[in-house]
Amino acid sequence: MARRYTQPDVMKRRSDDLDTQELTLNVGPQHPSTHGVLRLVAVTDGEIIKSLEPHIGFLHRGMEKNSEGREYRQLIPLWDRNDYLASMHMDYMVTSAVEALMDVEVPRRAEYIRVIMLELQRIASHLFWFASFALDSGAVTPLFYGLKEREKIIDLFEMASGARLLYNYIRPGGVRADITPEFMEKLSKFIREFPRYLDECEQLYTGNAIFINRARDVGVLTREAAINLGVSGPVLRGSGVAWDLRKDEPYSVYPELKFDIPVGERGDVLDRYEVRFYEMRMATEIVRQAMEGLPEGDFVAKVAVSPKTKAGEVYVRQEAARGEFGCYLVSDGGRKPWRFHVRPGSYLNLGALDAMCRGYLFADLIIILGSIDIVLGDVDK
Amino acid sequence: MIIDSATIWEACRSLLMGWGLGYPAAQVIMLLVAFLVVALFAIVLVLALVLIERRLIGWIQLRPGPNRVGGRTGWLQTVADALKLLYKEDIVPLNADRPTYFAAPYAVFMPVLLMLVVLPFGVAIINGTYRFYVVSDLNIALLFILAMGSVELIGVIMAGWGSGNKYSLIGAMRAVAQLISYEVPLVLALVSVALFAGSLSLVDIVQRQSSTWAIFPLFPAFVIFFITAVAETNRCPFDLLEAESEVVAGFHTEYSGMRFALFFLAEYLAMWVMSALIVLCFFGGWKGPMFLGEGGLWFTSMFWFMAKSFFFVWCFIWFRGTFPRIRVDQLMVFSWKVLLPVAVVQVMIVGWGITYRNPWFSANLIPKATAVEAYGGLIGGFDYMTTPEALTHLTTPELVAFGWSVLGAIVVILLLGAMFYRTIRGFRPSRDFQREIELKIMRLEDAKGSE
Amino acid sequence: MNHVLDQKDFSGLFSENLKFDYEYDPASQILRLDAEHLPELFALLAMDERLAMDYLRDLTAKEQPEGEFHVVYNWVSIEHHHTLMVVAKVPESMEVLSATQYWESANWMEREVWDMFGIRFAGHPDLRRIYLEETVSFFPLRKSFRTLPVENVRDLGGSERELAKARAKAAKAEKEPAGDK
Repeated sequence: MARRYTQPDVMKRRSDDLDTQELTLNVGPQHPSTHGVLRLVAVTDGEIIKSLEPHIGFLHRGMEKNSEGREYRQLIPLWDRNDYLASMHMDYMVTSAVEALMDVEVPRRAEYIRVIMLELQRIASHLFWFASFALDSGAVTPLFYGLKEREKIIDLFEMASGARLLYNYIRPGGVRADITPEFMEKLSKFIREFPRYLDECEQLYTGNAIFINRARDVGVLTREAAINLGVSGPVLRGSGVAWDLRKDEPYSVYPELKFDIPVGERGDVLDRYEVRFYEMRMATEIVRQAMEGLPEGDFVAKVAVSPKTKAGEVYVRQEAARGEFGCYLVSDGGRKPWRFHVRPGSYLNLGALDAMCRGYLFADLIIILGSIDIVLGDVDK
Repeated sequence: MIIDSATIWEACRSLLMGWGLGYPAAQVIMLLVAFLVVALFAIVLVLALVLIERRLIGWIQLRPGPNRVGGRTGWLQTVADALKLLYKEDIVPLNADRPTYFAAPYAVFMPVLLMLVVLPFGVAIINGTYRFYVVSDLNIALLFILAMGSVELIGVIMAGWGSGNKYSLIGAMRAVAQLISYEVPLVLALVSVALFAGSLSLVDIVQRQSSTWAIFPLFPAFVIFFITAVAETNRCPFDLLEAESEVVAGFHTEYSGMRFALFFLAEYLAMWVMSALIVLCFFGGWKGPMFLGEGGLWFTSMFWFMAKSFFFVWCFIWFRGTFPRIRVDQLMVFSWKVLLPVAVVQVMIVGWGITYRNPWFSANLIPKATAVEAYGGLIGGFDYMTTPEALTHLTTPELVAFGWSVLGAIVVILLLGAMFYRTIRGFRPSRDFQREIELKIMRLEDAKGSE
Repeated sequence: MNHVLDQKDFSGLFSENLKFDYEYDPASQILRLDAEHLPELFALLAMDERLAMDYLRDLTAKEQPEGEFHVVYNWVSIEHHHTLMVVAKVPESMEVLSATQYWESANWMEREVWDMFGIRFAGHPDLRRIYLEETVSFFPLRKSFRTLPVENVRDLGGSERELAKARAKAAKAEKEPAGDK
């Protein structure tokens, strides 16, 4: 067992020789800060967590089974509902899997539009995370600050796709509709103003000594543990692994854009927090570059309304807001998939919660759960 | 000139007795009147406080707040809420410990209501006598308030235990730990005030702050008291026992309807009582520029008292709008390792000051402001504030005390200014990080360019 | 610091270490084998310094049209930046060695595969269903598990009406003998 990870033994540090009675605490499924219908069974000693077991599946909708009976064009709005806070990423996931089994040349303009949308979606998702994370830690005001700015992005998406939450925008061959000059105008205004707004958010919340005391050295996930537990996205990078699929397994036009990825040092809640904030700034930068480099041309290739794929199997992955989204598609050469499997980012991140929480306090559990940013629709599929 | 002083209660009673009533009858009537006045005041105050809090928090949080019921200001919203709570179903959990469960809201609410009895609201001059607006000028008022605060804790434990809910129990356990550990520095901070004023009566404490407000000599005690007052009232950032993201709503998770409303009333009333206590102990109570003269003393004194106490209520709401919640162990560490030693040192310093007759720490040693009286300060209403004219007539100890006060004021203003500057300067690590990287890239490019 | 994937050809390495039948395609990096040989493969992937597959990114299963099951693994080496996909044919006993002894991330993913396909994992620390109730007797992602097709929303109403009719009939039938008495 050479590759077993090592976690610091926090329990040893905290507990003493007192023989106390254990309390089994049932957090959820109805609880204000489980971000949906998640049930956590925590065995606590006083307020110290001895072990924790997440029970999931309350929102299981049988998405994978549902996908098997549907055409590819129907899969996109279906999987929109998977991670409803990052629908664009879901669109792109299905699209890229289908495109990998098709002979289609995606126009460069479409790729650029996709990158703009994906990065805007990343910002929107991280803003929502900021709002709910701050709420978990007991501060209510950041909720409104985060949602206010997310609203602007949603307005942009509405201009482009007509929908505000589930976009159904990216589709095989390109995107569903071209973006308009009004959209570009509004987008450039947003990009100009957004960094200042992030400053405001950090001023409101990040510098607060109470927050830093609560977040530093809490929920530590070491580098080895993070890799072994298969976490991804900001949680993995917060633990000090420089692994971002946009850099490491580039897709779309990301190789043409200049950006860097933030990496944490301690692997605690504060690191994950800062990684996400830095990603928002970087995403703004990517959108700016993509706007400048946006070529003229078609926004969609000539693809049948209900596309057919070659027979074969493929595993595609992308760096979504909540971690790595993998998609395993097996096709028998028809209009419907034979097997459609999705590796959701939140699912494995939630699996690492037990390792992160042991030995910390009950109050820490909430803030750690907030810091890994789960969406229960995504966890439960 | 004016020596005699008593409470408005006694004045009214003697008025009743003047009409031919016996002492017991007058006493009973006054008790009823006092109860009505205090209860009405409490309810109206809480309704107003809730509305103020919601509007203020809405303003902080970029949203309008209540603005439908009762016009644009939404002034009827809290009334509507209160009516709604009255009509709601009273749900009792199956595994509740029923007697405890039913008694708990009253055990929480009554002590807070009783605290109002000893708070002096202002002063009036009736028939050439000072009459203080206070139901009962207890000579152990401070002790009484502390005792009532502790009784409230019992109600919280009863609610947590009686609900038969683990979250409530955890909330109640947190309440016990938090309130007990915060009571110690709170009491020590008030001990230094009592030493300074030489009395436990709140009226006396206010009267002894004629020449200088106690905040200036006792600034550390004020800071400690302010923090512990926030903790005592379970307000953010110390709202651990009712943290909705952790223990749902703590000890009142299972309560609904009017029982819940009683907890609500108690919380907001306690918030105001604590603000009032801060004002009485450190900010000279009702003292301030008496701009209406002797005749309007009853109004101006109440005005200053309410204005000051609402300033601190505003601070409480401001905290709630901006702070995250502190963690339970950090709370304990903060109380026992930081607040308690500072409070002990503060008490020792005040004790030293009294022993060595330092006017800085002992209001007793400053003679009643004869100079001010002689210059007709009372007629102009300036008995309550030092004028430049009166300054020239101060005795040496008074001057020393005044000098210390000015120095203390400067220190306080500098500290607050530094805090304010720190707040507006902000802290943005990810931007700083980005700038660092940008600088690094620039330097790298420069190095490449020079090659 | 743009380090794109660095895919290598592992044919030599595999032929040297794996003493059983397998198919390996270096172009698509897919390795196909029988699930009985997974213990040797796991040891090789986890322990060999040249492979160093430290990150198990995905584990799932699929059913072939002929009715046989495959377990599909996807590995990444964060150290060396290469990937590998392994498709293992599940034997008749429907039992496969668990990967949890090397990769903790397999824990939940194997539970999901057990839940959805009914493939057991030997050596798994806690093999319970993860999404569905423990009392459920079917494995929904098997092709033999069929979902009811709903072609028209009105069909739902129709079937409900039929159900109601049937219930009414049954109730009537129950009442009638009572009337006879």
